[in-house]
Amino acid sequence: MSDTPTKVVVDCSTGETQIIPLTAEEISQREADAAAYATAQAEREAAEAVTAALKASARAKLIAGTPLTEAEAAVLVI
Amino acid sequence: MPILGTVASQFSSKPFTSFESIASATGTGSSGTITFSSIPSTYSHLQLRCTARSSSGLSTDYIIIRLNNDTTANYTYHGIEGDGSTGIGFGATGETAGFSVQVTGAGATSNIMGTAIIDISDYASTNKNKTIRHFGGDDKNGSGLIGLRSNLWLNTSAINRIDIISYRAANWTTSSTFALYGIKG
Repeated sequence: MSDTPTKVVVDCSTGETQIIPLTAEEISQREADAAAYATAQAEREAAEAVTAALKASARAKLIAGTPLTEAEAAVLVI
Repeated sequence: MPILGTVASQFSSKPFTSFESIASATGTGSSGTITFSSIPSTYSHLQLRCTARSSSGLSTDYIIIRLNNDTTANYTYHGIEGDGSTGIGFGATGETAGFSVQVTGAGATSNIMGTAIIDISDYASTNKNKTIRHFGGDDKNGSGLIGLRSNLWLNTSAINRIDIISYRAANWTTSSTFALYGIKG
């Protein structure tokens, strides 16, 4: 049994469906897509973590009555 | 001119042909790409309706779409997502595919699927860059995500091929379905 990834190709002009092994170039692209996803997801999660930390800090300072930094104010006031 | 009160009966006698099925495909369990090729240019817009789950070991995957097999950095996206408690917004340029919405992976509870409705406006135009709108997500009975996306494809060619790809390089399960519709008018 081959481990070569495949694709399902539907020809809309004929209705014919084929299952075709990916070419080496397509396999490379698939791996590049997955790497790009991992990078983008990591960047998004890092940005979310920074925002969450700023919000938590800003809330604590508001309760304590101490001044907020500009970055902390920016996450609370649109 | 139709007389008020008789309009509905007049419509019911006519075939409703503004939204037509072009083609559909089902996941095989061993393919991570679904390709619709030789798409006719006879419609005004296209719509993809996907019910998807991938073999990714995680509980989630994302759909990406590629147009006319263009793998160059011609795609942009903006998106918003919400998980029931937190909402985020994001975007990027210079992407090599259109970033669509979250669906489920094999790590999710069995038989829970993600869904995506993807509209491709004015796809047959030869003088406009193409705009794509995505709406979808997954609900895993206690967790999940809803997402909206907008993609720009910086290319004025008419679209004749769409690839629907698992972003995690996984495979679409046999319970996954992908349907392409043409919209007239």
